[in-house]
Amino acid sequence: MKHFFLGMFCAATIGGWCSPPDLFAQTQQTVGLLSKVILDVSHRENGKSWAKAQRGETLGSGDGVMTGDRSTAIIKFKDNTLLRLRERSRVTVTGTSASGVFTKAVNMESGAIGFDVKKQEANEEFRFTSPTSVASVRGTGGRFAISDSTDTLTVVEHVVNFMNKRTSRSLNVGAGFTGTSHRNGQIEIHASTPAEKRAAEEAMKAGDLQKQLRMQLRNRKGGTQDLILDFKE
Amino acid sequence: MIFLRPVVSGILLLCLAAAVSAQVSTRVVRVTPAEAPPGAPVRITVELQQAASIERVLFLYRPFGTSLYRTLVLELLGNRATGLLPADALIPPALEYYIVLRDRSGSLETYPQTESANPIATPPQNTRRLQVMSGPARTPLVVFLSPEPSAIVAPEDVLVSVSLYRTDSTIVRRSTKVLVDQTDVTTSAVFSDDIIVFIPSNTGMTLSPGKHTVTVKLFDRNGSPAGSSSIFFTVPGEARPRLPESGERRFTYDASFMAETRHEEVGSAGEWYNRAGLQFRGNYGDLRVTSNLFATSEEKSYRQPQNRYYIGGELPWIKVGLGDTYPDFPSLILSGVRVRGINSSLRLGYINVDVAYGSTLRAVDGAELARFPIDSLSRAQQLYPYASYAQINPTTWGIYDYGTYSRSLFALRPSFGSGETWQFGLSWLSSGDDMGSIRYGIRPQENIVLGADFIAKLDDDRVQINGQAAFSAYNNDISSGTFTDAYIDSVYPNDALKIKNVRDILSPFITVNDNLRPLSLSKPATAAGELGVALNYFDNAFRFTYLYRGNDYNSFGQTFLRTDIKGFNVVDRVRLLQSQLFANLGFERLQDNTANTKVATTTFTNLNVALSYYPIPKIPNVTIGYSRYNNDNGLLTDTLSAINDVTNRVYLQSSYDFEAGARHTAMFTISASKREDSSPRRLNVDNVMTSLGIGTRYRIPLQTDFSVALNLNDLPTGAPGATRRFNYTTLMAHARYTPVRDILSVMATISPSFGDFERTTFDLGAEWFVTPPMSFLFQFSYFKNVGVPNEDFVSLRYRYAF
Repeated sequence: MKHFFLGMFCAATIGGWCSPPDLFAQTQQTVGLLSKVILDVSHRENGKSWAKAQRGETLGSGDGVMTGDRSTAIIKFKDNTLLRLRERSRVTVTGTSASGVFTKAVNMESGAIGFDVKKQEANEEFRFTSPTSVASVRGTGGRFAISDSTDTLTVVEHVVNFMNKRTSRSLNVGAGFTGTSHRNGQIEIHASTPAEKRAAEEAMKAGDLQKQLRMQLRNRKGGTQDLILDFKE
Repeated sequence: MIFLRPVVSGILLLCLAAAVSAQVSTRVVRVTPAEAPPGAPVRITVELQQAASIERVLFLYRPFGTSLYRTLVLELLGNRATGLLPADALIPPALEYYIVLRDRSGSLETYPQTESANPIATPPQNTRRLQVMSGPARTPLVVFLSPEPSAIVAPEDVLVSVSLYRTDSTIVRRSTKVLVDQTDVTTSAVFSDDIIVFIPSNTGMTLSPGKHTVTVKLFDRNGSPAGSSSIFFTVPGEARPRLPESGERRFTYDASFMAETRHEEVGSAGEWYNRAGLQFRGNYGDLRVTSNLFATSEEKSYRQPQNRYYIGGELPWIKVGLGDTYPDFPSLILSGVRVRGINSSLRLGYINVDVAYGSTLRAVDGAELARFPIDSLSRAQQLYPYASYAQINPTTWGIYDYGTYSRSLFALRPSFGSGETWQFGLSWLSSGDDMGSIRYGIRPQENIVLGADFIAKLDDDRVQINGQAAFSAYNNDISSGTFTDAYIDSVYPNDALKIKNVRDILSPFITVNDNLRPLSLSKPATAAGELGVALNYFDNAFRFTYLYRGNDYNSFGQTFLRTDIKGFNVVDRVRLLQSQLFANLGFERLQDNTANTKVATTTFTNLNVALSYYPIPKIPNVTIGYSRYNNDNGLLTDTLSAINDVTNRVYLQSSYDFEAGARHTAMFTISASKREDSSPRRLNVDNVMTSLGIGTRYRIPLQTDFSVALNLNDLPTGAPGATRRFNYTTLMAHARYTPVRDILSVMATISPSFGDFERTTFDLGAEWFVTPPMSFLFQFSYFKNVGVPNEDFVSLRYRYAF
């Protein structure tokens, strides 16, 4: 019996020597990954400096992502929520998960994002925060953009609760509406203009591979016309 | 008269063996799972303590709407007994079960406690329930982040990433395997917390145009598969026929080694046990190879085999296995019996063949305990009425402990049709004891069974018709051999020719003598059959079953079938309110005395009704049910042979998930049953059981479970109408803390029971994953008893997966 115990401890010692375990290692909580990187995208680990981002890099809680001119980044959270970072945007992602409950937040520092948030469980939450506003999302799509004085939230599907931090006033922004939150504490809602709707839909689809097919057609009079097909693949 | 001390102790042992007793089982530690989805087989695991003295573990269960208990013989390996419940047993809302343990002396223990001296023949009133969930589908454990299912992705853009954040503590994330087109890419994947990332282009893996699959396999803390998920995606371009290239087909495998040392202190005796096991699964193209080896220090020549050996290979059209297997034949013929030998199947679709051959029992010789003069025989029989005696010579008798003959079994089943829409099969089983395998044995037996079965599926599986029939011949003592002509002429002069003809036909297959059944073909006493029709229309799952089992039906491949019964059973399950409300109705009418050999025929009439409500959005779900079991043989209630009893049972169960600082799951159960016996025996039983439990998962890696269960029983004492109280309360507190995720977990449980049953259980455990494939599991349990010595056991298990 003693030999048996001795044998198993030897095996454990050998295993531990080959790959010494760090019993007290506390791994940083991962919240998602960069599933697509187009042109100039940078990633900053929590507490470290900015570095060029790579497709497939995981994002931990407190990490930042930044896009340059004409650049896009797509972030996938581990509950399959999708975030599309438009050009000249900067965000910090945070999140905690325990026992299957994943709570996450995106702090907008500049620029705009398109979002497609999966339906959240009863005790889960997705939040967009900025210096001016907080938007609580439970399963919607839309666009959130910030500037020096105003935050704009356009919702394409379902409803988002939008709150101004200064006055704590909040509104529910439904599909087809745009909420505007000002630094001075004002918050209002209006029906989305066609331009706002288009911007929101483009923000949700930014980063998909766009392709174009051009065909030259000849009419009966001998003239030619171009047929242009834009499609995504 | 000469009696030796060993004889006395041996005789006492025999007496105990004959007088079975049913007690509260203190040896069942845990039964999992507590719930299961309908329509799919589920593996039952019973954890035991003091398992070394347990010879057999039986799981007796009855699906909703039925009254007959079916028996599942669990495979006992070490201190864990497992078995596979068939899919047709899992009918919502729940399945009732109880467990019977038989030790080497023949004593029976039940879990939960029963008032019956023979719980196999007479099921207890108080049973456990396995919930069969019929609510909304569960959230999948694996979240595919990339690629999207069915996406079209350029080969250089393929990024495989999955999230395991929904998995709970039963899943070991670091053991997860990722496969792309059946190629295991786990070693090239990056594990970051609960996200796994694999980029094919970074490893030089090329993805040709066409369809590809990503498969994620999960494993639990025992290294057993715990589920898998797959998605497909497409690489654009013209798909070319893929020719096998050198190295493209790879042999993939996973294997695990387990070693355990364990000490059990029972009473004043302590004993060490050592066990080791090796499991292997390999794939090469369509070929699968499986191996399972288990060795234990409990393997003894005087016990049935405790070691297990198996190696098998499988292609889509053929399967061959050597070693210990559980052949799957029609349930009337061969089911749940371990065969050590060969088990193979040929599947060609239009024709198939299943064959099993090997031994089901090992020879264990008996012993002659003592000899004494013939004039002491009557005194010995008075002193030890349950012992076995045999004459040695005209002046001397002996007392014996009879052994077990080795028993072989051969089963063959050719069938026609693949079973996807129809199949017809014929089965043959022959089994018998080898008289020459032991010296001290009694009543060697033989058995043959001939059967037929069919299944037909119509309208996209919405209509299913199945049936099976079997005819058996059984000889319960072949020691005198087959009839001779002289014996037939002297004992059966009137039917001598007929009996000789039957003997000549059957003797190549079975020994023909006075102990053969059937004695006559005019009554189908050794026949059995079942016919079932299942319909699935308009949110109704309807099933009708007719069954017949003659009183002498016997198959060595199906040893726990209830015989001498016939009747029908109807079950209907209705989905209402967009699958939020389920109504289950069951009615059954059975009768015994199929051969008119009893004083009267008993009719068993059973009614079962249950409603399950799973509301959306989440508020507590609830199931309520009512059952009525009526047994009546029509005789006047003042006659000794009268059977007239009614059992009414109601139950309510509810569970609720809510968030209050942490994630909680609360469960409440209450059930009450009352048996009124109008016969002269007045075996009335009252039982009330209620339990309340709450499980909590905190944001820190801590899980706790608390529960309280109250059992109130009025049980018969044996005197007509007299009952005795047996009430007890059990508390349970359990905590599991993971200070280092996926590396170290510690757990503790305390469970006191008080009242008419007093005991306190303490459990401590720790699990350490030294490296992803290597782990240690330490367990210590202490049982503080009242009136009997305390007990404890400690075990250390090592596991390595590769």
